[in-house]
Amino acid sequence: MTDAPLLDAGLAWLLLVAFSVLWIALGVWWGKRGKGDADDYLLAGRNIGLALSTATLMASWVTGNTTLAAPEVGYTLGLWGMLGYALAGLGLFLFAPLAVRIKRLMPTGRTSGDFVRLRYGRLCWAVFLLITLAYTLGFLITQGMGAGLLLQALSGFDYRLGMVCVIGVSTTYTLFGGMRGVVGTDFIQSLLIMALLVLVAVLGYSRISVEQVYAALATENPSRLNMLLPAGLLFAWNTGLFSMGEVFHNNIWWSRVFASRPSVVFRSFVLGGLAWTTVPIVTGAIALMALAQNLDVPQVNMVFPLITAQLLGSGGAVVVFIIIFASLTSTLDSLLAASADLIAEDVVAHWLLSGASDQQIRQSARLVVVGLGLLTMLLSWQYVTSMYQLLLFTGALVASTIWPIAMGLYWPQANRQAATAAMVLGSITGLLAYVLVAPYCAALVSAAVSAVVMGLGSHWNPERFDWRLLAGR
Amino acid sequence: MPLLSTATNPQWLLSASLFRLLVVGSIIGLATATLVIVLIWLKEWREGKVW
Repeated sequence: MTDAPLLDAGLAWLLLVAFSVLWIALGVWWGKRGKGDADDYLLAGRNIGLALSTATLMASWVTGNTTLAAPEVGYTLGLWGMLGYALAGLGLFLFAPLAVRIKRLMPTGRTSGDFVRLRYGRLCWAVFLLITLAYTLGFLITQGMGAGLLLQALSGFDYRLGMVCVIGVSTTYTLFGGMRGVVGTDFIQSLLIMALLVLVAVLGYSRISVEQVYAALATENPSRLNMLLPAGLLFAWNTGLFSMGEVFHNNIWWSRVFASRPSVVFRSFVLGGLAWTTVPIVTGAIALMALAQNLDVPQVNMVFPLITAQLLGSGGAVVVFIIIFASLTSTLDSLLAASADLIAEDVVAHWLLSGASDQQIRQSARLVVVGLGLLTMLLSWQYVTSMYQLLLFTGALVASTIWPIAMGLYWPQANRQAATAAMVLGSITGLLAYVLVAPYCAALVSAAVSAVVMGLGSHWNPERFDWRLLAGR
Repeated sequence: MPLLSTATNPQWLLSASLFRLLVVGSIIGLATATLVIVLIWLKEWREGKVW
């Protein structure tokens, strides 16, 4: 295997321009529908149906990490890498009942920050905003770096050129389309990703049979088939908890709850979780073919593009380009839109410009989309670490929010001081575990410490929360 | 299902049939999910309930 790009530069430019124009045109077109008020820009009018709701969950959760890092862990850890990554679907499943309760308790809510502020007060809200913004930046950077790496490996583009193009396209259609543009493009992007992944897997396994892959693994790499692999088991638990932390706290998922019709919220999270679970297993299974073929993989997070191009030729490289471009843009748009909602609603409307008008909130959200897009480009300028390691680092932060959110939604005694302490101590111990023990342990330790602090603190000093307070905004 | 165990490195290698079930099942699952989302969209589109 040489370092030569997998796609001809001319073809790569054609694909890049074609899909960029398509996403921007669709985003702008969908953005022109609706009433044009802040609820429409931030939450697509609060009435999206089951198909769009499910598809936008799928598209947002199928990230550049799913299409690049899931095959990477399948390749390095084997079955538990694939299954462990698939456990990230747990976050969507387990959030389904919470989503119904959120929709009922907060009919006019806009963000996860609204919940934390009303439920636990401003101090906890400030801690929560720090955690979620740090996580969002980490997530945005992994997508930006993924974009640069993809275009570099597939087409020989300069890393920075690819990164700027992908972030620029996502920022542009999110800016003009708002949540309506994001949800609409997510629908097409998720169907493209799912259908093309099926195509790659079917064509790949028609060239090397499942039995041949199994035989090669059993002979050359039996650890990849070991269901008791310690590193794999630890990875699986960490991923499950990480996904719960991510979905429970992040405004991407809360904004989908507020944007969806009440009757479809539960089903969309269950269906989205079920559908998503198959993706890391399929991409991991594709990566296992690289082991069976003894393919030289100089950069392990590029195993999926490399094996697909190896098996399916330039057609395979085209398909990979479309899959990963759609994954990256669909996640970037969701992150940009949801973070813009959070900052416009929580930081601007409830802090800097108390009592901001509908027009001011919408304008703030637009400015935040542009600012975040530029900041992501700046922070992704230098490729510094493995995308997956960066993701594990943020896992320490988000896992600390699981119990404060879950208990706060169901348990009136959940205490605000305990929630604040749980987030702070969980994050600190999780980060220490990341550095001193192993990256895989970060989310586990963070969630465990947060659970103990939240449970004991609320038990010793119970609060009597009036749920009706959540109905305001 | 071959089940091997040593004192230092416990091993349970997945059998060929379960490996096949995992790979083929996930591909079928993903294809089905794609179809289901398209069918739901078609139904909602006909009823005017997409947005």
